[in-house]
Amino acid sequence: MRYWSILFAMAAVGAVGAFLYAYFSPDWWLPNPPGDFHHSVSRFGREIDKLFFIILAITGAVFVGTQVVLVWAMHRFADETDAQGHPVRKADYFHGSQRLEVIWTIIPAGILVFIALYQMGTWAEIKYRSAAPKVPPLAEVTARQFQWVIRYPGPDGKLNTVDDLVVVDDLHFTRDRMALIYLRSSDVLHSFFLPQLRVKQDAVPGLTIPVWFDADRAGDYELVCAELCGWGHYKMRGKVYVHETEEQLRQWIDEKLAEQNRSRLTMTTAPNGR
Amino acid sequence: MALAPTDAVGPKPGSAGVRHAPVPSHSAPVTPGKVAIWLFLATEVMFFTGLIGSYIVLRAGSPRGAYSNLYPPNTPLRGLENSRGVVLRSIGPDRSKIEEVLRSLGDRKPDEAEQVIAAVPHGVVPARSAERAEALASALRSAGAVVEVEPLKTFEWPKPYDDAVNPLAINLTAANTFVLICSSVTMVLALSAIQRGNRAKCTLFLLATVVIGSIFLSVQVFEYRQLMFEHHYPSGISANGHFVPSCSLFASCFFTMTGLHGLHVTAGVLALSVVLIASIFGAFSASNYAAIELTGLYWHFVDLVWIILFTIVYLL
Amino acid sequence: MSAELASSGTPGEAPTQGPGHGPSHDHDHIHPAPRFFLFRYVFSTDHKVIAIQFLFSGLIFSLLGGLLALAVRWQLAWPWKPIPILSRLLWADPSAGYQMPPEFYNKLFTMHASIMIFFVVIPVLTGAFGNFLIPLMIGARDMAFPRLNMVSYWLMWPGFILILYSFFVEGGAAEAGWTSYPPLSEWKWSTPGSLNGQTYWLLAVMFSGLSSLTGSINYITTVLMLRAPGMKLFRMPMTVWGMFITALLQAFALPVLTSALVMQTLDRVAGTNFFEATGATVANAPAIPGGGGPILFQHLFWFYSHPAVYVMILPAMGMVSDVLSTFSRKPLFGYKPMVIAIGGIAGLGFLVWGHHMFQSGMNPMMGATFMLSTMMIALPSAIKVFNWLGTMWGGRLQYTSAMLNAIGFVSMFVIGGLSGIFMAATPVDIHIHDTYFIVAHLHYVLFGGSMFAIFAAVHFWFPKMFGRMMNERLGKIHFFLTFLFMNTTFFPMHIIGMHGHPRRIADPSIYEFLRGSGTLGMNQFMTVSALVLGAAQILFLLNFLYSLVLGRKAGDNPWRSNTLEWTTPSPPPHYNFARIPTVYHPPYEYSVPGVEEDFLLQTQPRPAKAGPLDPIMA
Ligand code: HEA
Ligand code: HEA
Ligand code: CUA
Ligand SMILES: [Cu+2]
Repeated sequence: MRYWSILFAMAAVGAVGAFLYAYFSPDWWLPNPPGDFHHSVSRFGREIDKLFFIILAITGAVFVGTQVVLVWAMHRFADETDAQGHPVRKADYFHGSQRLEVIWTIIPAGILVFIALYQMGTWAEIKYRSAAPKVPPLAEVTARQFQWVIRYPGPDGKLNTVDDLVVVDDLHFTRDRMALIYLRSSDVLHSFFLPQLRVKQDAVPGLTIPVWFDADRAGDYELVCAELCGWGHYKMRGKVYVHETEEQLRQWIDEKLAEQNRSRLTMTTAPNGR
Repeated sequence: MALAPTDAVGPKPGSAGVRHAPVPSHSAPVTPGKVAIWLFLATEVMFFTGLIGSYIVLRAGSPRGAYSNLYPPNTPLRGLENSRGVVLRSIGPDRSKIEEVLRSLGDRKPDEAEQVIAAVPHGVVPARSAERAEALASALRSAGAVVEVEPLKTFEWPKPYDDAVNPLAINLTAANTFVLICSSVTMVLALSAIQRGNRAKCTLFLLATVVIGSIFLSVQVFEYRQLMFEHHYPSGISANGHFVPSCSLFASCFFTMTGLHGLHVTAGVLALSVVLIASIFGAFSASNYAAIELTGLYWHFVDLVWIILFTIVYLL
Repeated sequence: MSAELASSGTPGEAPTQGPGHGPSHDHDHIHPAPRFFLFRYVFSTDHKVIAIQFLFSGLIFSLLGGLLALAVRWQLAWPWKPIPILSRLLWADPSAGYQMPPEFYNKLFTMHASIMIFFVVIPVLTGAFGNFLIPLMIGARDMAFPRLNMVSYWLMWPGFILILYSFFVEGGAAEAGWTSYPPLSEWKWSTPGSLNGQTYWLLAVMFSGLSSLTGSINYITTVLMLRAPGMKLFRMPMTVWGMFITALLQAFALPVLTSALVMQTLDRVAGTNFFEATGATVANAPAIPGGGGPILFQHLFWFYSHPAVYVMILPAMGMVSDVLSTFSRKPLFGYKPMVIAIGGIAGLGFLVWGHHMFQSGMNPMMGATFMLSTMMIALPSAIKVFNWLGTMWGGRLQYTSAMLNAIGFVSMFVIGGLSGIFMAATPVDIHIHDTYFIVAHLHYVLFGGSMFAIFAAVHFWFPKMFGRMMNERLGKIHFFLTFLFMNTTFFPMHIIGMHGHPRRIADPSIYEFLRGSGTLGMNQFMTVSALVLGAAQILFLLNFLYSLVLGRKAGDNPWRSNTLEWTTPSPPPHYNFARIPTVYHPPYEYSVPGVEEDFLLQTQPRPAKAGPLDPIMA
């Protein structure tokens, strides 16, 4: 019955094949802008993707190695019986090998320590508070059930003043500039996830967490809530727009402010006096 | 002797599986019962580690200004830094007059006046400014009350013996702790009595342990009643005057830890009562006292946990 | 090495020779089985009966858990389309087109995972197989505390009832995920399932936890105290080692979860503030004093639940080791390193819980240390995998259903473990955290790992449990379909997860980047696969039930295996062993040179010709 090895070989080939195929398919590979689906638009994204590749290569090699051994063993050492039903071959009798044990502890240990140390820097750069860029904050993002409330500094350039612009589910920033936001939550846990930019950070009630990221390409992206936050978790989606220049961003903020003032004005002068 | 184990199935509790020991030597000092009780205590240690660990984390992480002597726990104190509070130490001879002053000048809701009076000598009326505090204070003084004006002091966590923020009856509980330690002593005596074969003495000491344990529990229940229903406390302890689990993080921790410990004591008293009854009926002897030993271990453990809890919740 | 032991047995007690030792003449020493049905099969203190009770309850709950999973899959492939038959029963409201309400989706995966973990895998692995095998494999007549053992089963029942009842309370079942993070799980108005369902969930999990706790104390004591003469620690089968170390994990980790659950329950019902931050509430709810820490709960939860994932894999690894060695007709490769690896996994398992919290707002420096420890935990796992391969190498592999499922375990565990490395790498976890990559990982280790081990164990020990063989042909077809369709169900999840598909969302088509045919088509493909996978389980069910009554009668030792349980009749009598056996050597002496048979029961001395055992490996 050595044909069972084929089933296992199929699974392994399928697994490797799926990743190979995925590499050529924009719908499957890491999410990136259409047109150039192998290019992550953010600096951290590119570092993360590189790491992803390295680990994929290492684990892929380990995977192929173990599966080859497994399938080969299944094929080679399958029980066979002769016409009388007696086994053709006796199983070997040994209890292990100290040398092998040492080898296959040391080598994976080396690999794992390498992976661990190699990525330490990237992690620090992305998350350590001390690495936060020294720029004025782009916005304060407050998650609440099923909305992202985003507060941009108004004309005075300061956050939490009366002239701030407050919009919902609409994140704008400028390309090639580190955007720094303060992430908060006003009710339960949420998570600020920009798949195309490889950003993710939970929003925790009671904490204000700085998050920073950039994009080297203007255009539309998406903001996802990645932490279960209630019945409407699935639809807690925000739009992200990356402007070409800082002026365009300011212009958008001014327009929005004007728009909101106009509606506030119409509200106060409504006939019923409200 | 062909087979050592005879009652592999359904051994009596306590002596469980003693004769079931696998290896030839039957004088092994470790019985399955003892192994199990130590394991059980290990799980209990982990359980209280979870609680105490949370307590430490929460206490260290509770935001500055979470507790103040004038405002209920976790009132945002931003903008209130300069406020004063009028602390009513005694209301003097005329209660109704004080009530009236509080109602007219303190611009408070009617039942709040009663709350403040009920909390005397720590009745606190917060006032936004020094002038208003002084005005209220002098009005109260002329009505015969003894009052003080205190500035806002903020705390990270209620300190012991600070009546403005900490309602716990530390002296009473200290005495109660001593009571519980005594019960550990009687437990030890009960065990050593039966080990020497003295059944009557053992029964007596068991009885003493049960009684002392019950006293501890009663005092704890009494303290809970005082905190939750009887006494009124200043607003720095609770917004509505009573100290209940929901009024602050401090209260949450206090009630959860002491309450769960209380449940353990209750379980211990019940177990000891069973042992006591068994002892009255002569179930134990100098060679058969495993049940006493095992419940004793549990009892000492509960005692030890209390000493830790008392130290960190009441004294630190 | 074997000679010195012969003396440790009671004089005159010749080791039982092989299977089948007829009616015992020692009956007067042994309690007979209770006569009454109620005490014999329901309130039994016999570890074997309790094991079977756990097994049946677990398998029944696995049907429910599986059905919930299939409903999850349906919604993902065809969002908001009514499920055939089911929708009409559940939402008798044609005006909404029998459409599933969005919160119901959250209930589905929450209850799916909770049931699968707390009411299927843990009870079946430790409750059923732990109970059945520990006394039999170490040569004891029962657990150290048979009555406590019974209590530990019946403690499951309040859990069973509460978790089922929770579907029917106002607001419905819990829907905060199996991780149940506050504040979502605490504030009653944050989502319908938190109204009442969550309280029932908490109580149910607490009962299941109490059951595991009492069980684990019993197991540890039994293993430490009741081993047969000659059964040294390093002669215990891997299964017993797995169960033993699992019990230690449970004993030290579960109480912490219990404390967290107690605190969450109190937050819900008594208004305490452990996990509620100052100044946050859901829309329009009254303000709370707060001051607590939402992240604290995650620490407490994962301090248990990371070890818990090893609770779900260590017994599986143990049983798979036994099955692999038996059907390779060859000693386990590196028995002692395997034992040490299990210990290493368990020990390190206590140091890595933070890897679930890399993006939670926990201090990123702690993230870096947790990353290191998580990487290290792959090492003992590596040792295990390589040793399994070493066991098969040079063997005489017999592809029984049990063996196939065991090899399936090895193959699938490698995939699941390797995907763990991606997530352990903190920067990569930024992207794949809370995506389907995680879902893929957890199903490869839980379905590909724990479930395959359960299938292997059921096929392997069924003859001992019930005295009848399972049907091999059906077993193989079941394995073939399960293996194939489990891969097609779960492997694509890696890919869509890498593409950013978030987990726990009811309708992926909301997002533009998921609208491409890749993810949508994949979702449908996976759902169809899952349906077939579910249907394939019917074969298992049929085989199980059919063999129970009509299976071929099994002899005492149908697999020609070495461990002590095979020296007893099938099914073993109430007292297991007429004579307590004496053990002469480690459990994996297959194909010993100089022995005619290709196996050597642990109760038979090794022939001198076989030479001394390797002291480091065996
Ligand atoms: C049985 C259950 C089980 C097991 C055994 C594991 C094993 C491992 N898990 Fe898994 N895990 C889960 C169940 C399990 N996990 C579950 C249920 C979740 C999700 C919880 C939730 O959020 O709902 C989860 C989530 C989870 C996360 C969190 C992801 C996130 O939410 O962002 C992480 C992160 O580090 C992780 C890592 C690992 C690692 C490193 C291992 C390692 O132990 C794996 C080690 C094994 C190998 C590595 C393979 C064999 C080794 C070799 C062949 C040798 C050579 C290898 C190399 C040199 C690389 N797991
Ligand atoms: C042991 C654990 C286990 C098992 C076996 C499974 C099995 C399956 N799971 Fe599960 N799953 C989890 C644990 C498990 N899962 C966890 C922990 C989560 C995370 C939840 C969260 O986010 O909180 C999850 C989440 C999860 C999701 C993600 C939901 C989301 O994030 O939105 C999905 C989606 O496809 C899914 C699908 C499936 C499918 C199709 C199966 C199929 O394999 C099911 C097929 C099986 C059956 C149909 C029944 C099987 C058995 C029998 C029939 C036995 C025979 C009976 C007798 C002999 C009596 N699961
Ligand atoms: Cu907000 Cu999910
Ligand atoms: Cu983990």
